[in-house]
Amino acid sequence: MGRRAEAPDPTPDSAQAVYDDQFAKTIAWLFRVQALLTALAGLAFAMIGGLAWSMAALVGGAIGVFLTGVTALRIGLALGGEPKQMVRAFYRAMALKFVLAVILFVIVAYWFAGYFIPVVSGYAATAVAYWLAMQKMTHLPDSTTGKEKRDSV
Amino acid sequence: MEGIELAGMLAQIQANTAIAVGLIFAAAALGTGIGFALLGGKFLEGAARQPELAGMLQVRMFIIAGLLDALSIIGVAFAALLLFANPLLGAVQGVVG
Repeated sequence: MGRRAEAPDPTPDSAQAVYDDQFAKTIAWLFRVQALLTALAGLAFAMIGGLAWSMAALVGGAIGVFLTGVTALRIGLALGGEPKQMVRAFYRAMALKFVLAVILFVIVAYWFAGYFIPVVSGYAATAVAYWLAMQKMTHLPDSTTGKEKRDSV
Repeated sequence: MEGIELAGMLAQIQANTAIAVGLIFAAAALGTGIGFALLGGKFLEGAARQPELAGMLQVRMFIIAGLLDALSIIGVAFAALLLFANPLLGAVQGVVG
């Protein structure tokens, strides 16, 4: 049996407002960290291989940020609905993310065929932001109290 | 004769590349399919037990999903490279000139 939350139950509307706010802050935090990691990857590859490598890494990072944004937008529009609708929106968002990833990487494979390692490294750098978000999330106190927190992730 | 050997070599590389790309797509689809199915199932289970936590679970599900499909998208990126700008073919063509 799963452990139930011991915090007092907020009213559904206020709880939903807190979760919407938490979602928005999480996405904003993800964007910031992904942009920072992309810039770091671009800087590192600029030192290793010059401008072309740096651009390739930045393009890879931009793909990651774009895919995060599209997915977050699709999921964010379904927040506050029934769980079934939320899961449906989630799966649709993930399918869209996958299709967009294929299209973007095919385009990039044409443009940056000789610099594909920096492209993939730039994208992988943006994926690290999710690890950091998850790590940060596990160290936070229970978020069911409805109280305002400084860090929402 | 050399032309036929070269064509055979290129055809072999292309065939192996096609198999590799198919395996990459299959593994990516299988992994993310199982992962997302478990994730969605657990989300519905949690939301059914405590509906007021559905919003919080959705945020956490989003983060974990980002991790879940990152590797498969990287695999798909390499598959796209192999399909549309195969560096293995380029190496053979570079040697031949």
